[in-house]
Amino acid sequence: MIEFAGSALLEPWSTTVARTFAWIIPVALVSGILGVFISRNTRPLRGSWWWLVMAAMIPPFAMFHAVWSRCATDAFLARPVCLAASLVVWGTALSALISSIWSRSTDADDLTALDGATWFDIVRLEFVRRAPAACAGAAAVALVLFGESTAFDLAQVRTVAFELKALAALGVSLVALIQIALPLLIALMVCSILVGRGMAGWTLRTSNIASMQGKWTLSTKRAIGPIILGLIPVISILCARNVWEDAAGLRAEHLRGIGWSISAALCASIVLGSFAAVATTMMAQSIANRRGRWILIVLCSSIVLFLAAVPAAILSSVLLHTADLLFETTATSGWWLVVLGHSLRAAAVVWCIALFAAVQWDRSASDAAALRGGATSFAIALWPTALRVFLSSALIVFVLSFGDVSVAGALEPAGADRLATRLIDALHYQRPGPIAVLLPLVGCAAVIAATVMAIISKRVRTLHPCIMVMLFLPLILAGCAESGSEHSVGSPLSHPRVIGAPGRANGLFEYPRALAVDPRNGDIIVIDKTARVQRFHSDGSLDQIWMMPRFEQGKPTGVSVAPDGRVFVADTHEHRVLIFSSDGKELFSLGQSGTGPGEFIYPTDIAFRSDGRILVSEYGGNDRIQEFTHDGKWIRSFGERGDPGPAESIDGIARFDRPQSILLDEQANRIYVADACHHRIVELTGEGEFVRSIGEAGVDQGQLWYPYGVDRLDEHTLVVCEFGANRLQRLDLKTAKVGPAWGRSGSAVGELAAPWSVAVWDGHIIVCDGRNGRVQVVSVPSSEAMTGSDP
Amino acid sequence: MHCLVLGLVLVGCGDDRAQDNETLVVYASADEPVARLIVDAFEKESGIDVTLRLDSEASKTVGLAERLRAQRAHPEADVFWSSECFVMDALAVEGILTPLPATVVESWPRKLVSADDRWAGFAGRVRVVVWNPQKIEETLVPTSLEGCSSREKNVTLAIADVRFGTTRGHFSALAALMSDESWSNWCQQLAQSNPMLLPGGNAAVVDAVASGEAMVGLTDSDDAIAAQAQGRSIAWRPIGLGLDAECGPHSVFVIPNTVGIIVGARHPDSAAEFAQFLLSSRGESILAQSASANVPLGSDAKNGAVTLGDSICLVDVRTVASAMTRAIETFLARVRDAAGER
Repeated sequence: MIEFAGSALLEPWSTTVARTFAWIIPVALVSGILGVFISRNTRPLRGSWWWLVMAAMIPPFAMFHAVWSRCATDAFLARPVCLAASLVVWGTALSALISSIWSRSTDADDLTALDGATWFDIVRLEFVRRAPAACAGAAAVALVLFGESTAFDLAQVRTVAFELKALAALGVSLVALIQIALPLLIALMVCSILVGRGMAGWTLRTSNIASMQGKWTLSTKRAIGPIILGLIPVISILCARNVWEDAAGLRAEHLRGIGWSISAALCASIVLGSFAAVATTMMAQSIANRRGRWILIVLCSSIVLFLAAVPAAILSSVLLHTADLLFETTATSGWWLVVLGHSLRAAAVVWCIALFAAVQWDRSASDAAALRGGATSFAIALWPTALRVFLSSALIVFVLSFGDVSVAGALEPAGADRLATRLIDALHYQRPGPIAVLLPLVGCAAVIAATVMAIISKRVRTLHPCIMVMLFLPLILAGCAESGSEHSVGSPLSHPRVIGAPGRANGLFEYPRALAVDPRNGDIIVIDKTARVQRFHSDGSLDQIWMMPRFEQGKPTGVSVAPDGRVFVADTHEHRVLIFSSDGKELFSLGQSGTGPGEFIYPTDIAFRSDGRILVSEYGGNDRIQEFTHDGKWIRSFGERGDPGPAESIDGIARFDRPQSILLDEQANRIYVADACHHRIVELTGEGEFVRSIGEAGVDQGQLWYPYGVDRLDEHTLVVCEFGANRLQRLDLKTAKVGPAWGRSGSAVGELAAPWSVAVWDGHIIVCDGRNGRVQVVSVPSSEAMTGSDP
Repeated sequence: MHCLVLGLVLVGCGDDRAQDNETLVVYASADEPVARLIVDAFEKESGIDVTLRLDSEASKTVGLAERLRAQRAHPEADVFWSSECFVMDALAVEGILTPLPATVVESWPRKLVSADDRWAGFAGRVRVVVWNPQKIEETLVPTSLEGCSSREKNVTLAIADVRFGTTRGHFSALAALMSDESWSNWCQQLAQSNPMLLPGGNAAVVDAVASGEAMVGLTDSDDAIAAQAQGRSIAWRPIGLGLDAECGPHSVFVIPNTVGIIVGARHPDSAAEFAQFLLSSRGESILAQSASANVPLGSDAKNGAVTLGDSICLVDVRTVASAMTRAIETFLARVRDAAGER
């Protein structure tokens, strides 16, 4: 263990301290001043106030990630600029929320003005009057940023909080950590007491400004603009991906996480809100009675400021060890420890709010109350202010606690799944999907918290429809949630082998759709939505990869391997079939866009006759099967777009709606077509004449729902993969019976999400598990098992 | 409306799996999706419910280790699964881990089990060098950690903070092969080449290389793969220590995942079963095929996205751990000296 912390520092401690303050002080000051101007036209629960809540709720590290990922350039300066911008946006929102308390509590607001005054004088008077509010906002921002290093870490800025975390990671003793941090904390405490004392006196003088006549020339109604601008990168992240598609990846853990996060933050906010209200009452009485006011206030200020300035690494470590020493159960695993951590972190901020609410309170009311009676009358007179302080403090604490990762991340018990922790992990591992899911949930939490406050204060009777949508968004998304295997119908595939995973690296997939097996050796060929053609050996190891030459209009949805090994790709959105050699060399192209013979709209699949003739299925208006010679000359087409019915049996022409895949059985002289949007399998003769339709529309076992893939299990049995029902089903050709079903909806191994294609090879069923970004391989069940059990 | 809001608030209050006496509690410092793949598969196959406690990038594995130390007298966790081996070994030395049952380790390669049987390694991450193909030719990219100090002058190198995680292990492993003087000289040479030492971790290294702020960087395979999965412009290859010692000049440096059972675990049998699941072909296969593409080390599971043609270097953890403090302090001192000279 390292006993001397200095030997474990990357740079002189003074450099780190200077850098930390060089960042925090300007950000805090700018945020404080801007916050004051914004709060002038901000009223709680109205209009722009909701924007402030949203912006303040987004953790600083998430704000930086949004700005950096959307605005980054190659210039080295971009990262510090993005950090500064994101911290100012977040800090301004927080400061404005705090300042908005005073915008209603100061009676001189609407009365104070100067007749014939210069613009400079008005600004000066505005600043003097609002300086306490600006200082409170700036102090809150500074205190939070001092203890929170995550945003700075992402921006590669080394701060005091990070260095202390690094020392803890290196095994520096707790005593050494406190030794190195203590001088800094004492200096901070002394500074804040001096500044606070000065501001309090300043506050007392300015609160006695007499009313003056005149009018304001400053208009700050548009001051909320920078906040909204700052939220644009965050909103753009959500718009960059299909949020509703990603919402399907919402897991039960995320919903549990939002509940857990809200619960812990609300508990802390109620505790500290109550503390703030009581503190306000006691301090207001003390100030009004001019008795011993400063000694107690200074002492309490020192304690809360010290707690706020203690870096998270030390605070969480002390809390864990203390809890374990004091209690004999697994108390360290309790949620109460998280609430305590939140409370200690945010105590200084609510102390600032309470202190200045106390000194801003109208003394004339206290005098009137004192004339009528003692402390009881005083308390009754102070009640509206105390309630306002409680609500405002509670909201601020909720905002700060919800996004905290440094303290709560170390204290949360098993199974907690706090949103902020999951969000920082998603940012670290560059997973835009979870980010797109978690950020809206943060916004919902903000709305929920603010609405709770509104209800308690009875300030609103009805809510704006947009707010109602945000309030119910978690419930809406819950309907899309992949809640895990315990909520899905059916059984998962038994002991599947998984090939690949979501991603763009070699061997990984981004929504794979097309799959085929090389009949010569069992190699598996997969094409995904990055237009990569990947060839795997049958054991799942990657062999080869090549790109489609063109994919601007879309990616292929079908692929087949000819008996000679050539790879035929249904290049769907390029309206052609592209043929490659077995090692990926482009050979020739078949067809072009159109509705005539030999032309395609959206080709989907290819099959081969033993003499080399090629069958191609397509949809998009053509909805037919076309036949070509081995060298691409058009022979004929069969089937047409239409509705199934008796006419098919009469004229022998199948009516298709999206024939998604075809299976040729030359021995039986049959062609089977997965007629997806008619939810059936169509059986044709080898010449293309309609024989029968198998299956009916539905999601129950025995029915079909968007069958996309079909292949042969044995002489009399097919396997069908259903894109719409997320399962496989057996189809008996002798009895025309569909069932049993295998697999179920979900993202766990053995579950399926949007399976696009299926193949059977060497006793295995290989299914392309599209939305799960993988291929799953299961053994074909025995004949006995096929009567009703899982593979 | 009051009831509705209260209902929403109480959504998260109902999960008391951690208090369920039959639930196995697993502390894992692995990536969340990977950990959930393993846990889901284990739950399905064993029927044992698992409550997972993950670490946060904000605390970088230290958080869970610190929790385990604080809970020594009353542990919440039954099993600790770490994504690296040095923290695990430190916990073993401190007596927080109990020896793994013989049935768990007997069929596992001995080289992957600690001398006191208190932890075992499996499917590892590979240390890799990443570079930006648009900024630098592959021939200029260092081929080993040892070679990083003698790279071309204009090749900017990004490294994660050496006081954390796999970077600390990588550097310490090299230091363990050198004398004090050689190590000091190597650190001095590297420090004078002005590498970027990033506080954001291995992911920040990849970000710096992809954005062009650095030309090359040292990171882990899962971070490189994640960046490529996002379409970022980087290339990578495994990197070893470079010294012609027991690992050989062409070997690659692998840091295994490790698993240990906590002393005083409330569910020792279930914990042993979970450990056995990780130390199996099935467990390694899931990890190999996952997005983290860990390299199987103890079983015949097939590789995923990371395929290694070179030999794998597995250092003696205890030896490296004992050299760690000296190694890091020396490196930091040389960095401070070099900064002072500039």
